[in-house]
Amino acid sequence: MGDVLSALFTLLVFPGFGFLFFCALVFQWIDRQVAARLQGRIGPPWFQPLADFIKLMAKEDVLPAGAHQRACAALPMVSLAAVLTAALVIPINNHATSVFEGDLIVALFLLSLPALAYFLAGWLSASVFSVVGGSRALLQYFAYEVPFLMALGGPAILCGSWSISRIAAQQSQTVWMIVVQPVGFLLAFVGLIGKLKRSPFDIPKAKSEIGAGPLTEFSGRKLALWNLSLDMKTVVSIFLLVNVFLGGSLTPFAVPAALIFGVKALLILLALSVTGVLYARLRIDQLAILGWRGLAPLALVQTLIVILMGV
Amino acid sequence: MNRMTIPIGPQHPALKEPLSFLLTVEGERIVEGALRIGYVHRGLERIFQNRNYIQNVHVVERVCGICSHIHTTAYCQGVEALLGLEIPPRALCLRTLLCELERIHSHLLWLGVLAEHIGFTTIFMYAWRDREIVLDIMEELSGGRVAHAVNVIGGVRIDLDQERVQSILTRLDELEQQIETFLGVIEHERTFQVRTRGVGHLSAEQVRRYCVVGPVARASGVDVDLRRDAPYAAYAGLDFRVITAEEGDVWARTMVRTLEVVESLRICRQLLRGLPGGPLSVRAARRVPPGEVVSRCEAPRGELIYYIRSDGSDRPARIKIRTPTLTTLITLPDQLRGVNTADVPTVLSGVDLCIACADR
Amino acid sequence: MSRLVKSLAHLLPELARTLFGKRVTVHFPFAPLELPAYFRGKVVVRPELCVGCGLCARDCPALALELKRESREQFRLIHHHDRCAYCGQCEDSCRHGAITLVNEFVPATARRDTLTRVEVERGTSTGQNPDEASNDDVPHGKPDDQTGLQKPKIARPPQMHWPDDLE
Repeated sequence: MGDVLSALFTLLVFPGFGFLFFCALVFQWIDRQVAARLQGRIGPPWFQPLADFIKLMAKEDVLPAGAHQRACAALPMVSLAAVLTAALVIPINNHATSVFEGDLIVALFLLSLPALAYFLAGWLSASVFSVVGGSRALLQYFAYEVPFLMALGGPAILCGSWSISRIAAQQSQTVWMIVVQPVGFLLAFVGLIGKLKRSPFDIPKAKSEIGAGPLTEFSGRKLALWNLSLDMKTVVSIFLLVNVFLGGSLTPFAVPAALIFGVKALLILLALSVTGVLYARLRIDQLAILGWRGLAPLALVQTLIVILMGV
Repeated sequence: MNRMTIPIGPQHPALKEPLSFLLTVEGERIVEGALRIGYVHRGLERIFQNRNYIQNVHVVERVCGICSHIHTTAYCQGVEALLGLEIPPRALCLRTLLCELERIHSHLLWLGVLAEHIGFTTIFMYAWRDREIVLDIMEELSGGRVAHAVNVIGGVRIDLDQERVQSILTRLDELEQQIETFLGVIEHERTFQVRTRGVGHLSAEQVRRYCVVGPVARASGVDVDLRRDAPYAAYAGLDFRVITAEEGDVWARTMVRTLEVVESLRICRQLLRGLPGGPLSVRAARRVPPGEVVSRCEAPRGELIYYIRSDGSDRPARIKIRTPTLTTLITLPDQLRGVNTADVPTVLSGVDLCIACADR
Repeated sequence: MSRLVKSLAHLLPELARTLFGKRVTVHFPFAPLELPAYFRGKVVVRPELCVGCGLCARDCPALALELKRESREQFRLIHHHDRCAYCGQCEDSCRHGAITLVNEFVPATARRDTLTRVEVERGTSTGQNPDEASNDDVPHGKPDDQTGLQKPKIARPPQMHWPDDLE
C-alpha cells in the first residue's frame, strides 16, 4: 500500500506531473520576461502562463469538419504522455525514478514523439496553413535530429554507459562533459533550439507566414494540452542536457545540490532566450542546408574524436 | 508536381490592410498570382465633392494614416496655386519639416514591419521604440501623433520657438545614433542578409515599364526623386543626396530607406537651424476661381499626384489622387514569380504597401 | 573568423544596452498619461463668446457641429461628439475665440445619448445657461438597455446635401 502511494506521489506530484507543470509555467515565464527585457518591454506578470492555461481550458473546442476528429483529440495527449514518460528516466537532482542501461535511448525516442505528433496534427487538420506547417515541421525534424542524437551519443561513449544517471554520476570522477566536448554541447544546444521550435528555427509556426502552422485549427482544451506538452518538453530537454553535459547536480562548491541543478537549468534557458532574440527566422531550405551541410558533418567529426579518445 | 492555390488575404498575418492575392504554388515555388484590391475603398473622391475646400483639408488627411501630412501638402499646394497665393517662407519651411519627419516615421514603421515578417522581432521593437521619438516631436508640434492637421490653405497653423527648436535638435541627434545600429544590422548581420538578399527582384527595365516610383524604383537603380527633380515647398534651397542602390531586391530597398532616414535627419537639421521669420499663413478666399491644377509631391512611398478641378464655387468639382502604392502593387505578380512561399511576406513588406492610399 | 563572429553576434551590444536601460512601455491606463500642451482633445465652447455665426458648423469636416437658428437672438449650437474627429478646424474658423481644444481625453461612454451636447443655448425660454438647457427636443434615442433595440435618431446636420441625381 505504501509502495502504491509513494509511486502515485512520484508520478503525480514530484518529480512527476505536478512538479513538471510548475516548472513548465516558471520556465515559460522566465523566457518571456528575459525576451521582453532584452527588447525594452516590461514582460508579462508572474501568473500569465497559468492564466493562459486556465483560460484555454475553458474555451470552446472546435475543429474543422474535414479534420480527423478522433486523431486530433488523441494527438495532444500522446505528446504529453511521451514527455511525461521521458521525464521518468531523467535524473532530477541525482535521483531518477527509473534507471536502466539504455534509458538515454528511450528518453531520446520519447522526446522525439511530440515532433511526429506535431506533424500529424498539421496533416490531419485539413487546412492549407496547417498542412504547409506540418510538412515544414517534418523537414525541420530531420535537419536537427541527426546532429542532436550524435552529439548526445558522445558523452555516452566517453562515459561508457547508455544510462543518463550513470553518465551524470561518472562526471563526478572525471570532468564535466562540456569541458571535454564543447563542440558536442554546441551541437546539442543548436539541436535543442530546433527541437523546441524556438526562434531562429520556429519555422513551422512562423506567425507572419502560416498563422500558427500545424496547430492553427486547434483551440480550447486541445490547444492547452499542446502548449503544456511543448513547455514540458522544454523543461525535460533542458534537464537532459544538464545531466549529460553539465554534470547533473555536481558542483565543486558547498551549495545544496538542488539549487545547483536549478541554476544550471536556468543558465541553459537564459542562453536559449538570448539566442531567440538575437536572430531572424531562417527559411526551411536554409535550415536544411545548415543542418545537413554544417551540423551533421561537425557531429560526425565530434563522434570520431570521441571514439579515438576512448580507445 | 501538383498545383495548390494559397490565398493571401483578405485577412492574413502578413498584411496590415486587406488585399487579396491568390497564389498558384507548385511545391514551394510560386507560379503565378492574381491580385485584387478595393477592400478599403471609401469613396473619398466622391466625398471631396460634397465638402468645401476648408473641410477637405481634413478629409484629405484621412486618405492614409501613415502619410497623412503629404496628402494635405499636395492638396493645399494645388488649391493655393489655383488661388494664386504666395506662401510665406516660414510656412514652407515648417511644412517641409513635417514632411521630412513624416518620412522618418514612415520608414521606421516599415522597417519594424519588415523585421517582424522575417521573424526578427527584436528589430521590430527597436524600430518602433525609436519611432516614438519622432511621434512625440510631431505630437508636441501639432497636437496629434498621426493626424497632424498642420496645413491650412495659405500656410500652416503651428509655430516653433527657439527653445523647442533646441529640444527637437537634441532628440534628432539621439535618433541618428539609433539609426547607426540599424544600418549595422542591415549591412553585417547574417540572418537578416540571408532572408532579404535576392528576394523580390525588380530590374531597372521592369521599373521603367511599370512606372514604379519611390524607394522601390531607386533601389533598382532608377534615379527619380521629386524633391530634387521638381522641387516644391522649401526643397529648392536644401542640400541632400538622393539614395539609389543597384541590386533591386528587398535588401537594397531596406538600405535605400534607412539611408533616406539619415538624409531626412540632415534636411530637418538644415530647416531647423535656418528657419526664417515672418507670418505663418496668408488669407485665402473661400471660393476658388475656375481652373485645374496638377500638384505633385514626394510621399514616403514615391510620387503622389493630385489633380484638382475647380468650378468657381466653394466646393471642388473633382479631385483625383494617384498614390505611389498603386504603381508598386502592379509589380507584385512579377516579383512573386519563382519566389519561395516562405518569402511572400518578405516581398509584400519589401514594397511598403499602403492599401488605404491605393484604394482611397 | 572575426567577421563571422561579428555577423552572428552583431546585436549583442544593443541588447545589453536595452537590458540595463529604461523600459519603454507606457503604463497608461495604470498610470496617468502626460499630454503635451497643444494636444487636440476635448472641444470646449465658451457660450458667452459665441454669437451664432455658424462658421464652425460650416467648416467642420465631420459635420459634427450643428447650428439651429430660429431668429437673430434665438439659436442653439449642438456638438455631436461621436462624429467629431478632433481636427481643430472649428477652433481656427471661429472669429470670436469661443472654441478651444484642450489637452484632455474625451472619456468613452456606454450611452449614445450622452454624446450629443448642446453647447450654446441663446434666447430660449429656458434661459441662457447651457447646462440647464433641455436636451429633450434634440433628437436622440433612449439608451439600448431601456428600450431594447430602438435605433437612436441622429439629427442630420443642415448643410449635408444629398443630391437627387449624381450628374
